[in-house]
Amino acid sequence: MILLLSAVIAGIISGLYFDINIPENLITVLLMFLVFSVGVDIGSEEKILSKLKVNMKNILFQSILTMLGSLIFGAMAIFFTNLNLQESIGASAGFGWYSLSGVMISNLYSPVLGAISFTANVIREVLAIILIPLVAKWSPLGAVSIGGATSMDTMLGVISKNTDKETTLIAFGQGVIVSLSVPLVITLIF
Amino acid sequence: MMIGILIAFLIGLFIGLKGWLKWLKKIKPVLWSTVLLLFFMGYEIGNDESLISQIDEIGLTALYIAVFSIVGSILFTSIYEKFFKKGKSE
Repeated sequence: MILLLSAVIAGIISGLYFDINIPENLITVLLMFLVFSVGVDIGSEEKILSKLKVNMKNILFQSILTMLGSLIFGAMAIFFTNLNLQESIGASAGFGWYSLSGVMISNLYSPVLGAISFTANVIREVLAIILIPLVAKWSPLGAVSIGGATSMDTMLGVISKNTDKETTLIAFGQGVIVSLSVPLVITLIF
Repeated sequence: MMIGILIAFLIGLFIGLKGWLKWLKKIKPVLWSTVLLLFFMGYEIGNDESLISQIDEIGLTALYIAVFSIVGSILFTSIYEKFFKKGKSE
C-alpha cells in the first residue's frame, strides 16, 4: 500500500518538474502485461471454469450495483458543492476511469467539469489503494466495487492480494462491464 | 485498447489453465506493473498545468464526488453480498 501510494506521489512530483514524453503504447503494454499476469494467476486456480459459470450472475449484479451506488450517492454532492444534479451524476459516471471520463466530459459538457471528473476519479483510485485492504476484511465484494472500472487493471493487483481468486475473477468481470458502460452512461447523461 | 486488454487476459487465463509459466509469480509481475502504472498516472497529473493551477477549487468538489460514489458502491454491493449472493464455493 505504501509502495503504491509512493508511486503515485513520485509520479506527481516528476510530472511537476520534468517534461518527458511517455509513449501511449508503453502504458497499453504495461496494462496488457498486468492483466495477462493476473490471468495466469486465476487460470492456475483449480476448477476455475466451473467457478466462472457459477459467478456469472454475481458479476452482473456486482457491476450494476457498483454503478447504481456511485451514481445515486454521487448525486448527493449537490448538497455540498456548486454542482447541479446533472453535473454531480455526470462527474460520478467515470467509475474510476479518470482518463476517459475527464476527456469525454470536457468535450460533451465543460472543461471544468471534465477536470472535476478527472480529479474525482483519480481520488477514487488513490482511496481505493487505501480502502480495498480495509474493506476486504468484512466485505470482499464491497472492496471490489471501490475499484469500479479499474478493478480489471490497476486495482486488480490490490484486489487479488487482499481477497481470494474467486473474488478476483468477479473483480475482473466487474471491471470489464463497468468500463464498457462508462462511455455509454456519460453520453446518456450529457 | 479494451479489446487488447481482454485478449491479454484470456491468453493469460489459457496459459494458467495449462499450468504453464508457474515461475512467473515469483517475480511479482502484478505488483510491479501496478507500481509503474500508478507512477505514470501521477505523472500525468503533475504534468497538467491547468489542472494543478485550479487544484483547490476542483479538488474539494472532486473529493465529495469520489467519497460519495465510493460509499454508495460499497453499500449496495456489500448488501448484495451479505443477503443475496449465491455460488460461494467450498
